[in-house]
Amino acid sequence: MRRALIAVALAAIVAVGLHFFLPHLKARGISEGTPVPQPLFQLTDFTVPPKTSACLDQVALEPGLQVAAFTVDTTGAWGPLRFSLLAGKFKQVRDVPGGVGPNNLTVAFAGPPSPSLGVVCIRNRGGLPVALRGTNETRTLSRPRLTIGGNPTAGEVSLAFTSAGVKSRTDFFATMARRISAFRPVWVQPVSVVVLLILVFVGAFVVPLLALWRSFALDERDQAEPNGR
Amino acid sequence: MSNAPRSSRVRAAVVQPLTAILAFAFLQALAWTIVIPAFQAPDEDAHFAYVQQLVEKHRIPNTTTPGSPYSTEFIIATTWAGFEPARGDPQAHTGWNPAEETAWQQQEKTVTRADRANGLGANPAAQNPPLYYVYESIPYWLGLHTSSASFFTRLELMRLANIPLFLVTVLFTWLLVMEVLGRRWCAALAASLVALQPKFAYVAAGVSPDVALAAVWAAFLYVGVRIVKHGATARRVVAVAACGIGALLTQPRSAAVIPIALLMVALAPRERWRPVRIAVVVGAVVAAAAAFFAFAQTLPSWVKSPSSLHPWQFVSYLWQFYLPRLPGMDPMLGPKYGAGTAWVNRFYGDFGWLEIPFPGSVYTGLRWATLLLIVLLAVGLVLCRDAVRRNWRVAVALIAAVVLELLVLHVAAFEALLSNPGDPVLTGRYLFPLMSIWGLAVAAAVTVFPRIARAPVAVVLLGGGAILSVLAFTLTIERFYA
Repeated sequence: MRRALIAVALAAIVAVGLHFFLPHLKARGISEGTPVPQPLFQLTDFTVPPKTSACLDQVALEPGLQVAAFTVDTTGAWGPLRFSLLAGKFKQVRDVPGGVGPNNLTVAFAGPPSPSLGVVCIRNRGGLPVALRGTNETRTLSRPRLTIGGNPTAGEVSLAFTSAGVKSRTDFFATMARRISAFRPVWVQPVSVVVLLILVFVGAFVVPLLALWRSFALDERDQAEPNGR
Repeated sequence: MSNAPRSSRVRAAVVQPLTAILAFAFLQALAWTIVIPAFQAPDEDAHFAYVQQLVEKHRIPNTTTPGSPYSTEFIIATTWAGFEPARGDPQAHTGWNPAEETAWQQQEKTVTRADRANGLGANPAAQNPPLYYVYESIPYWLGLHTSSASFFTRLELMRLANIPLFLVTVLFTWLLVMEVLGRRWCAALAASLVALQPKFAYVAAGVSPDVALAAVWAAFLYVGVRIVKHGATARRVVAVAACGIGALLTQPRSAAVIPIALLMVALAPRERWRPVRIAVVVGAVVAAAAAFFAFAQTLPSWVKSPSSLHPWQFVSYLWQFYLPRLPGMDPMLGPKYGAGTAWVNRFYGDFGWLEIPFPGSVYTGLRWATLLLIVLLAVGLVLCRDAVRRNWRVAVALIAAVVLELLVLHVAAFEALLSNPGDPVLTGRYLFPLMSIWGLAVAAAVTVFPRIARAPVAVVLLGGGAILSVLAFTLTIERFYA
């Protein structure tokens, strides 16, 4: 009877575990970096005059097909934009048609052949000023420095990158392991991260249960031999 | 046993449940130190800066000096790694690009000792006594002076130094449960649950005195229970005094150790009282209290003027923290924030800077489980009243420890709310000093079940703990790296 109850308990654990973990095992797209997050509390718009560029430098660029996301906050009509990335010899240019009103824009591009630091520019090719959403919050400001028309400007235009497609599970886990090992001591490598996490994930279920089982056995032995050996 | 071959003794030790649990706890703690990006554990930046000042400038920071507590080296590292914008903002990510890391390494080469030592501004962690930071200064100093360890390597070494403290908490949970319940399976259940407790493991992986406090309290409570059960021997008296002083020198929230230590000595079997030992304990406690308040440089306002605590308002605040407001009661002081959020959600989850929650269904389940735990303990006290009566001293000591520690936390929070009603102050990790008692309580609750159901219930609890632990890793990895 006790074994039957334990079997039921284990089945319940498996069922609950599948409920929580299956969604996380689906192949999906991932972030390729957030050079400048959206503001948390205080929104700031940066006006880019006609024929002028707003540029962010020291932007981390990853290889692969990606989508850049930024926001136009102009209430009226705004002209076409040119989105460009520059990192050493690498250059990508994408044109964005004009529009009307605030708009969350996405621009597909291919990243540089290897991880790089580069400059991202949004050029206003239209005849009217365009407002780009950004931030001036101290806690949200990050490393990239903003210039508008070549002039340093306080604050930063919000910008984020995501993968253009869905990552396979293998690619996903490999990417996670590589990213976890960044800014770590030299002995933390992707392989060691993967091995360690597998040991912990499996061990979390196995070790406590084995310890419990062993403890019950030892307690029963002690009860059977109350005076010791 | 001692005459058995060495290989048999080694095998016996390896297969012993406690050894296995500690080995797993070590691996899990190691994994957390690596998975959590730098300074994405609560207040880790302030604690690190405290240690850096201690080692580089040989000074204890304060909370008043104008300027930033973060050194130039700190700012360089965190700027390239993108840590500040990511703090508490789920849409932001920390850095992982090799080009960023290379750029940081190049700039790190230009950092001088002056750049490491110039974080002279006010540090909120400076309100803590220095014991934990002295402990953490050892790995920092060793890393710097034996291998010229980089900024992030020094941080990792400091995180690794927390692992023994985490293991000590698990160990003393086992010992406490063996002392009180006397059954290995109860100890295995309790120690495993403490090791698997996701928020405890997360916080313990960052530079933070919370894990030191949990370790010292776990030892304090175990020795205290031994005093209550077996008497105040010289060794136990010295040990409990040392643990109590250690707790006070780690975190001001440990003020409850003073009355708890006195109570435990008072509850010790009378026939084993020795005036000298009692005098030692009382003297140590008084000395520690004096040092504690001297460090704090002020007595709490309610000590100088008890009426400033507004007793009825305090009772109203305390009631509404745990229970619905009664007709005629004033609205609760501070924001809408109570035991469900503080003692359940933030005790088990809300990782990072509170921006990584478990799914809502998990919190609902945990709240019901907490209520069930309380009901089972109450039922157990009735069903096992004969055993409780025989061991009433231990029961009183443990219940008093919980009540007194909660009271200290609530008084401190209430006092803070009176001057700043916007910040509820209390959060789940403030219960970590009672971690071993939590493990004991869960194990005791399982003993209320019929004998045939205890193993299945324990299996469910351990499975649940494992699910929460792995889910915490999953959510954390996705939040920072995906």
